[in-house]
Amino acid sequence: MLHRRAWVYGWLFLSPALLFLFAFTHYPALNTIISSFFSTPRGRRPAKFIGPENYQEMLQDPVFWKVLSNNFWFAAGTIPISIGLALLMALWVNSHLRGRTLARMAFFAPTVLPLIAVANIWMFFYTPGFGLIDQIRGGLFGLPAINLLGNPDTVLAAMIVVAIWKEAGFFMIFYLAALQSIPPVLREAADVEGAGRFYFFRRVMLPLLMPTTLFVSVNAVINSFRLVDHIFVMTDGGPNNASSLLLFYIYETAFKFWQTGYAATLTVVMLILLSVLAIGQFFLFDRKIHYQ
Amino acid sequence: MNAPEIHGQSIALRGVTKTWDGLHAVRNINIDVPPGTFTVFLGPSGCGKSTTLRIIAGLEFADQGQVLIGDQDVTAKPPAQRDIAMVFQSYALFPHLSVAENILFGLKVRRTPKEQQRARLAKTAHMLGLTDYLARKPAQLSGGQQQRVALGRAIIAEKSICLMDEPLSNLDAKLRNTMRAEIRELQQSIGFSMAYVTHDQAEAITMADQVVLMRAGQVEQAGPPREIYEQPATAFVAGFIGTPPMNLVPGADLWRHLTGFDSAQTDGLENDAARGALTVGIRPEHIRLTDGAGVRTQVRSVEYLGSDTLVDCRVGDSSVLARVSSSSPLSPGESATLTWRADDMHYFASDTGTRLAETPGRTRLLFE
Ligand SMILES: Nc1ncnc2c1ncn2[C@@H]1O[C@H](COP(=O)(O)OP(=O)(O)O)[C@@H](O)[C@H]1O
Ligand SMILES: [Mg+2]
Repeated sequence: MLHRRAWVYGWLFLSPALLFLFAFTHYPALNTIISSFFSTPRGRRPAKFIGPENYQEMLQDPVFWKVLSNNFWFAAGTIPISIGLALLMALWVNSHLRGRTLARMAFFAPTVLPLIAVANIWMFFYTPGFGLIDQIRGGLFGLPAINLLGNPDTVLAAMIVVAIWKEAGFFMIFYLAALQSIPPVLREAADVEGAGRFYFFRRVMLPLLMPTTLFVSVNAVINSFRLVDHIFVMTDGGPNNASSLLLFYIYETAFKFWQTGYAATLTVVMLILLSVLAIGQFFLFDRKIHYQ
Repeated sequence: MNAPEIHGQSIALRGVTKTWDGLHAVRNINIDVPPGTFTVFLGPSGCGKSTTLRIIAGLEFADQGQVLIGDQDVTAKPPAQRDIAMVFQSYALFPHLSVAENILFGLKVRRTPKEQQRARLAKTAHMLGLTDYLARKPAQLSGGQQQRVALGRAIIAEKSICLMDEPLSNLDAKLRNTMRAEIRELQQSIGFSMAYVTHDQAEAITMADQVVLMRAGQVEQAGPPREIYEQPATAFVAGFIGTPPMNLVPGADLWRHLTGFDSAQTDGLENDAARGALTVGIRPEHIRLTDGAGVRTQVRSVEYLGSDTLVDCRVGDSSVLARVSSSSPLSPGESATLTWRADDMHYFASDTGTRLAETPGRTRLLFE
């Protein structure tokens, strides 16, 4: 009797969260999958079932492949560097050096800023001729002005730098929390045994930071597909789609070109990619991770 | 090939002083730990035991003074160059490493050949009864087993000195007793020198060759357990050692409550005592109940301990604990007359607390 009532209470407590989860996550996801098999409704012509036609179109769409490869390089560029940088900054801030409060604040600042604001700051850095980068190039080295955002060869790299700058500080906070939960006495025990800094880092700290690394890297992967705000502000995907990412392309397809059926198809691809990556990471890391 | 014989090295502290923000954690410590012996640093919490041990280990550095290990001055050397092993209060096991990897940690750091690692691990694990647990993680072990792993990590390196900071304080009472004996046995059979920190006087008395009793950053007395127990150098030591510790009663209080002596014996005693301003120390286990001459007291409470009974008696403004045989029934409110052998009495200066070597002649007469 009591048991059943507890069960009812459980569901009652869960229901508000579940309601939102279904309404805004599960239902749209399901709807997207269904829409991806339908044509885009136009005027009086309603959407009709076309089977895998959208997917076939996608495989032949050069922009899709371009965007996918951009996204791959964007991820490959931002994830390892932002995580590595985050760890370095956390180690620095966690050490007992002078000025670490200032360092911590400086590192964390980009995280607090909205990405739009970050993008505007970097627009100034990148501006050809009188932006910060060209000022330094020209003033200090007498080099000619360059247009990093206007060149298809450099624009993606420029976007990667912005994303790293934005993300590393955020990940640093997680690493910092993890570092501070490692008991200092472990360092002393290692000192007594004669373990050097690097040995201790590799054999003790890094393994103890693994749960954080997993968490951070899953977030980094998701963010590498999710962070597109700066592209709107800085390049609009150009030049020649050289800085366009999958999510940006989905937005364009859906709300600029109004091809909602095709946009749904692209979205499904992105969902699948993200799930595979996240699940893959868990399996890859799980054996090596020690949870406390 | 036989394992190399370990010869403990001596440890010496010479005028070691350490301050934290101007406050003395330890002040002018002078201690000698002879090679291969067991020295226990004992004292109340905050008296500077851990600081002293950490200065020996090289985890802290003294502001003044020297640390000598063997005949080397190691004052400025890092821990790894001092030929020491250490067991921490929290064990400091690496949570992600198995028992075997934890024990082998130091050997791996120093790149000891693999075969030697295997052989020593087997030997150490066998000695500590850990053979069946080598693959486990520390979190899968009981407190006592974790303690053994920490011991294993310390002894496998065959260092000549072992330092331990309250290694048993996280264990339950029964386990504490067995581990006490085990640690002492390990130290004796392997032969390293031990510096051991505890606030538990029973631990100190049972394990040590030498007890260093500390108070507020200074050494109050250093000597073999028997000497600490039988000839406490100060009232503080007297009041710290023993379960329950020594009774410390202002002489005047005792003298005022003498009973059963004839007046010729007691005339003028009270004045003598007041003038001398001395504190009399007498251990609870040395007190007897008597029907004859002694000190008249009021029983305040009685605690039955099985074979013994602990009687709390009031003498003037002070209280005296007596450990007497349970066969003599007493109840609160009754009066009781206490007596003891004059030889069991200790005298301390009431103001400085230092031991007074001279036994005031008349008192001796009284209690013989
Ligand atoms: N790292 C530190 N910073 C400031 N004060 C400390 C530090 N370590 C110890 N102390 C102080 O030094 C004194 C002795 O401490 P400790 O040696 O740990 O005592 P014990 O081990 O006998 O309990 C205490 O008053 C303590 O507060
Ligand atoms: Mg301590």
